[in-house]
Amino acid sequence: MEENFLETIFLTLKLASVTTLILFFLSVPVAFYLSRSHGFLKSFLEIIITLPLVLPPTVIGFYLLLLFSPGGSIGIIFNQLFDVKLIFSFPGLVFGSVIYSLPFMVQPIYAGLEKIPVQLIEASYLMGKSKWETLFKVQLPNCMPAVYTALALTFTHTMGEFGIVLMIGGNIPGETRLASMAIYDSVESLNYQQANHYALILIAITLVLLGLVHLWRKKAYKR
Amino acid sequence: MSFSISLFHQFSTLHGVQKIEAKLNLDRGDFVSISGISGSGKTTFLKILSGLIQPVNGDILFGDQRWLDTQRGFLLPPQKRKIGMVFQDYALFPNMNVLDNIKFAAGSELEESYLHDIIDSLGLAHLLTRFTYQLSGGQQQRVAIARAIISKPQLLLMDEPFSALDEALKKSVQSFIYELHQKFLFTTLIVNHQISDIKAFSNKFLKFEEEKLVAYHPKMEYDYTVEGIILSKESIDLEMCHVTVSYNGHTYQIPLPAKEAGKLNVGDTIKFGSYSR
Repeated sequence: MEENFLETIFLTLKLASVTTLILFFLSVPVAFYLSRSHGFLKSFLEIIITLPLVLPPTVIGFYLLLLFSPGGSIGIIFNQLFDVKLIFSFPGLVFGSVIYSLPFMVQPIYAGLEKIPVQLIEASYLMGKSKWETLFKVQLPNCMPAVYTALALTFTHTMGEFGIVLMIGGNIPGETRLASMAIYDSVESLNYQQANHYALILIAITLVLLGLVHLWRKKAYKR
Repeated sequence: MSFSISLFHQFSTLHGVQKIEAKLNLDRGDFVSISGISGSGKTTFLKILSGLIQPVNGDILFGDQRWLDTQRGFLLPPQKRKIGMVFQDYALFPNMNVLDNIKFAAGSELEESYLHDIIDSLGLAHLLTRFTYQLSGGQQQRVAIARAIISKPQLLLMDEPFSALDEALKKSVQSFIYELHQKFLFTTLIVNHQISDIKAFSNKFLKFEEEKLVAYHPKMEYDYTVEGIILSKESIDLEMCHVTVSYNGHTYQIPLPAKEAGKLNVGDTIKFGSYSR
């Protein structure tokens, strides 16, 4: 087993956790807006959110590389305001993952909110509850299966991302070297056993997560 | 305090464009029965009153509080109207148990004694920890009623509130609602297919006729079951009278045709409605 094996697995899990957490808080208001709107802005937002699903990761990675580089518009802002380097750094990977995994969090929550019977929302309004109170106390708790799916999809998808990592993260041990990069690296150097170790760990974590989500969904659907 | 409603609304249905027109004045404490054929717009009318649907044109004034003025583009949000509503399909929150459903509706102004009174009177005491999927239709309906009245609303809207109750339970729930109505004088509007269920309580009758909400006087046919003493009589108009009756420590207001009421005097006994306990 390679020297940085645990460090790489830990960094992969850390990236997936941070991305999932950020995306959850970012996606709930977006999904809420989409579930209540009908106009042009809704259609425009839906297309933008779906883009990372259909574009090759290398395309997104290429443009993020341009934007995040020290001369790029986002790179300059982060460098000058927060003294943070986005290229070949963990914050850059988080930024890229949030963009790349956005549809995996927004779409299931949006679909879940859309399925809530409108009478539940109306009943809550008539009880004097605000839109946000209704969202957090009525709508979200009643679409928990969708929320669990969104969390699991985002986590596992971020854990396995490769194209963007390759373009903006590089392969710096302890900083940007993720499990997917390590597998690629190992195969390149014909170290199949090491690639197998990384791959098995990813499969195990994914299976455990999907199993948990299945159980939570089953429990939630009972209601 | 008056409740003045003037509105016009049209909306698309599977059978084409449906129109609703209503122009009426109600008083505080009125118990109004609304009837009409299926699809005539009864539920839509209740939703317009509650602020959940904005009509094409309209003006609603509840006491001195303006609820709607479409000409000025004003719509008071449902949250600020202090309305209790029983939805046709109950609209109970599946993520909460029975007690939490009722407490959620009460908000921060929960009165424990009133809560227990409602729970006992609606026979919900043994169901408090159950979730909606563990309740029968009739039980869900009673929880929906409890939720609508827990906040002591100034306007109570009920859409087919007794449809899932058996006859015995229906009478008990009806008289409890009427008792609360008499006590707190919340203006009550009930949409009910079975007009006979609520005829004895109602002092005003409305029905949808050719897309218009019109007042009418139904033919009174009581199922005389109990005997009370007449306390007073009051004319509503040329055709109808209110007779206040005391029975078993409670007072009831019975709408009677003027002809029938003319034959009765204060102090007389009268057999009345199937709604008494």
